[in-house]
Amino acid sequence: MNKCYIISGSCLHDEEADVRKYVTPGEARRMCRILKRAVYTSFEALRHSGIECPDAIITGTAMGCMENSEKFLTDICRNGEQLLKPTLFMQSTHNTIASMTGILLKCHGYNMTYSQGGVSFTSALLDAWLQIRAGEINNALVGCHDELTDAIRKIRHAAHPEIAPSDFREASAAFMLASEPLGDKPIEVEKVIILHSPDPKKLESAITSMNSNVIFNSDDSYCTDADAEGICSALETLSAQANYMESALVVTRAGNSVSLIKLTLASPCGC
Amino acid sequence: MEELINQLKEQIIEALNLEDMTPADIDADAPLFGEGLGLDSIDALELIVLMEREYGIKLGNPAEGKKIFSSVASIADYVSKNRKK
Repeated sequence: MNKCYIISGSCLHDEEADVRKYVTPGEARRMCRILKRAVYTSFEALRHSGIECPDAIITGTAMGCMENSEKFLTDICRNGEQLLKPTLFMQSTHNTIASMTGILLKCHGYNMTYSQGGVSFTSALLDAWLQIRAGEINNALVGCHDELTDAIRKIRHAAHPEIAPSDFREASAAFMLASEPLGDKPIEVEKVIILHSPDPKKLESAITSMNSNVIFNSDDSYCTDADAEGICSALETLSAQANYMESALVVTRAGNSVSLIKLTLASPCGC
Repeated sequence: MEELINQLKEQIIEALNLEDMTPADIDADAPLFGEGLGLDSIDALELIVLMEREYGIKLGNPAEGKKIFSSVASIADYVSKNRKK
């Protein structure tokens, strides 16, 4: 069984992406905000990994291109299902993000999108992790992208009145996973587990059995992609404090689901 | 006609999200597809929607569309003769 390492990553929080660093104005003109962020983080992760074209592109997104979906549905209502903009139609499907990345990279490999609410990213990560460990692929670009519109902020606020609409965060992140480590502080994805409606004792037992130095708790009430945001925090901490800790566990609670991702510092040789 | 050409240029820039372009940057006689602006098939669909939404013109014949959309000037000529609003 191969090991699976995170060899590079890029995260954006509530900020615009300088997508023209990687694509021409002509390629960028049709991209909505979430696509620009996805392309930017994906290309950043690829650049840092030194890999030009991944074996697979696997994306997690809870709501897809929400802004375009809202515009498209609004146009349907206002125009009596007539005069609909083709660009909005194309960019209102969940797998637009992964397919756009594949087209730009001319990547003809495995291209998959997971939409599993707050554990969408973990689902995508689990797919890549299983395939790399089984030797089906050598590397994968795993991303997680969601955006918040005013309407979604209001809906989230109704569900969580204690959080102001402006305090909800949106995240966009991309990571390169590979069977070979990179750099002097490689981080292995040791375990990926998704539990649905777990018994509290079973969950506690699962967390304890992970035997991690530090636990990062994240909650999708606050952030669209809390599991990916948790990974970003864990990676930063593990890299910065490599002399003091060997592993980190990211625990994300999303509705009735809980995802557990254990990251471990590995030796540079991968042995 | 000059006024209609300028109006079409502004509408095309907005509909196709031609960032950083102004009406002055578009040559009314230059090809829209391939060379010139370098538009593609998705842009053609956007232009068909624009024609119907702004001028009430329904284009049903693809061969006709190729000729109409050859340049901004050719679109303006067709619109001036066939507009319903």
